[in-house]
Amino acid sequence: MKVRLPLNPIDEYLVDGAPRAELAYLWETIAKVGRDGFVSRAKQRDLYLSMQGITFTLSGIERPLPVDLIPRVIEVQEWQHLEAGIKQRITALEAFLDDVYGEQHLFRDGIVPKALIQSSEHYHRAAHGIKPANGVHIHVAGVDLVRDQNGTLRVLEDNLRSPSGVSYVMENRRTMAHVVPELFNGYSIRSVDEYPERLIAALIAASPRGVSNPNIVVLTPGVHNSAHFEHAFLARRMGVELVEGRDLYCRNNKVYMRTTQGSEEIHVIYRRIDDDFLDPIHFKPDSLLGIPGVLNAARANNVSIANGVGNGVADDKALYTYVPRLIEYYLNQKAILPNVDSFDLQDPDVLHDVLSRLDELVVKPVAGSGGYGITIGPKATKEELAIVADEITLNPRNWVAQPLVALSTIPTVQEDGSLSPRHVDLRPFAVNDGKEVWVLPGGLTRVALVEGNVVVNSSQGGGSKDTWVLTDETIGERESIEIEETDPALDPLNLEIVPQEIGPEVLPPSRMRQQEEQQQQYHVNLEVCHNA
Amino acid sequence: MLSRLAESSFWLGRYLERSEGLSRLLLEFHQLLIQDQRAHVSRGCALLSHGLGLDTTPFNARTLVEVVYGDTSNPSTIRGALHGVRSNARSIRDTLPSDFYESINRLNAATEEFDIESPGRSLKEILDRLAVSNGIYEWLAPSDEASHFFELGRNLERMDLVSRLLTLQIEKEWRDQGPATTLRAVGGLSTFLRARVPISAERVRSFLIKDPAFPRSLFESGRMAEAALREITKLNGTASELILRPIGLLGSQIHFINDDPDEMARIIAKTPHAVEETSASIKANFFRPVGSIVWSN
Repeated sequence: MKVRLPLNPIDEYLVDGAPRAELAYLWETIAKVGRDGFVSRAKQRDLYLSMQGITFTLSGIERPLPVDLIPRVIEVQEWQHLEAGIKQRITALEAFLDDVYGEQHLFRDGIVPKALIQSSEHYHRAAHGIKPANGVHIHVAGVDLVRDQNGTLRVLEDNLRSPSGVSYVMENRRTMAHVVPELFNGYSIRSVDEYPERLIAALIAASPRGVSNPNIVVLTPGVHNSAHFEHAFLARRMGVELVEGRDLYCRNNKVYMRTTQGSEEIHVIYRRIDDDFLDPIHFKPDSLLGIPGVLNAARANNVSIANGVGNGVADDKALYTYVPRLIEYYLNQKAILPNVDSFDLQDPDVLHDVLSRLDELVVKPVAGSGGYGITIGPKATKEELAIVADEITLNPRNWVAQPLVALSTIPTVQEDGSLSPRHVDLRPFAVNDGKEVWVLPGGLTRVALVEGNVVVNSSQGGGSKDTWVLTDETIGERESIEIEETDPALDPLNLEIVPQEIGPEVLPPSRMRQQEEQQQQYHVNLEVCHNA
Repeated sequence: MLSRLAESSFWLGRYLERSEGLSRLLLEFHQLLIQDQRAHVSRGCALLSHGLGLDTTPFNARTLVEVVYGDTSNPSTIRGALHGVRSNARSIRDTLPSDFYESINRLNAATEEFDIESPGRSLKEILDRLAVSNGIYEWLAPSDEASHFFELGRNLERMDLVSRLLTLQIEKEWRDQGPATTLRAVGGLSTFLRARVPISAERVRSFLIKDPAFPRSLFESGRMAEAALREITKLNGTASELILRPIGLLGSQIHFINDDPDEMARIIAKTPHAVEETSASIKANFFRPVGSIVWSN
């Protein structure tokens, strides 16, 4: 069923059919590649991705995460705005987590109702009183943003548990440079390659007090997890061991890794498994993925867990509504990035109003992620809406309703090589080392590959786009420019270089002629024989 | 053994290694420069062509590909080195396993489909086929004197290329991507990262100079070149001291090197000379022994 959405999304490339000024040059290059060009490049891309093993496991099947060949482009000013907004948001949420799992001033000051926090399924009493060594709970964050019909970038949700996708950001760039190098012509783009170094620095900074040379591991649920490629990628790029729960054990409140040389103490665990599975002593008792006792080791400050346990309370979709208020409360600033409006269904009047116009709203489960359980009013059937209405009435705390946002679109390559607009969102990644929140330039642009689809999650079959943050150099044909002077004596360009050695010519033309002549005589002789 | 055969085996090893090294280098440089700021792009292009001793200075990523991929007339370019591979193999094809010769012809065919616009795929193709050729040689070629010359050539070329790469200092100038690019350019990123040290320009330099676990470090390839030379001199009953001297001296200096940047720079600068000296002395001893008559054209 195809339903027209009631709003007109804006396109990030084209305004009334013409490209935005800074994209004009790129648009020309795209035209030069052409329809047939994109068909063959798409084949090259698929081959490259599967040969490189850049995959995402969806419903048990390993497949490449399709990167669309048309990049998203973000200009300098907009990026600066975004970067500041994300830093502000993460700083405030960090303060919030510290407060919630510490002295809880915010309840006393009536900023957020205590019931809202305590009813959150990600609020873990077990995490109360765990003081991270450098005060950081959110070592890595992914903030999902959408551009609405007016062009404003709004925060759709925060991901503070284990946001995934950053490996695709780095691999997408390499893939693009490999498959469609000409698109880069004339643009100067900020590198995304720094991320693993930033992350490991943040993990080192998070190590328990008194540990100068920490042993760091990445904890994965295993090869069957959808993001296993990413776990392996990060472990490899950070040069740390990738472990599963069964590789680790706790004794005397310390965590050890089993190695051929005996036990090795672990100081920092970058875990990519959910709280619920982390420690069977405190959470799911039947978890096979976790390490029994790891939470006590963290409480004893012998190991640091990144991201912090219980972070989910801060990215709960019901708390989301309060984030602008938290920014004011903790930082005394106005939020730089606005939220998408949300309705607090626990207010009976609001609930009544929402139920009366469910067919024009989006309803999401507050604890969900991965795009599961979302109902889009205008696209749902009467029956589906009735079911959702029942569920909301029964348990309003578990749901959040939002007005429909017309996600912006970007031209996207279709199977036949033509371009067609598709909806996108943006997930920039931030790393907090306790001194600074650093934002990776760009982020993961997710694109709904199906026409009209507005759910872009990778777990819903979405694709991605390479995201370019431009540097402030002007756009156009590159020319050579003088760069700042360094000490000329140290400049490699001024070093004398030995030419590469060259071997003797094994088949010199003079010899070739003589050798050929021998053959010709042979031919001549043959002819002679023939004539005779 | 026939001097001509020895010499062609030596250069076959060198050109195979050169075409592989240059392909990897170009692939990674192209990746690095393509998304970079323009001042850096022309700088990177100039550095690479200078470091490889090429005459033409490219000014953007595309011309860089043209210049480094080059043509058959210049053995310091990829195309030229591949041409060298093929000519040397052709002149001694009677001694080579036929599977190997077939793989060399496949390699040569890959050059005909080289796509300047989208070099990534073509370079990967060349690298794939080079890996096959190298593998076949290792499985099938008899471990005779010729194979020691091949091995010697390969390791000398490796030393030469790694020292050239380190001369460029891209790991210092491109602080964010440079160190990883340098490692990738010699296929060393994984080995480096497995040693579990955070990546930095200084560590990358020291790794490529002296790490015994990485087959392409100056130390390791020096050691292998020395071993091949010892075999050759043993088989020929030649006095080995003088021939071994340049490589041996360099090897012991690397063995006792510390992390002083000046000392590392000295080693890097010395390496191509040591390679050249060794090359000259084996030429004098084995390829064109004194007293042989050389007809000029």
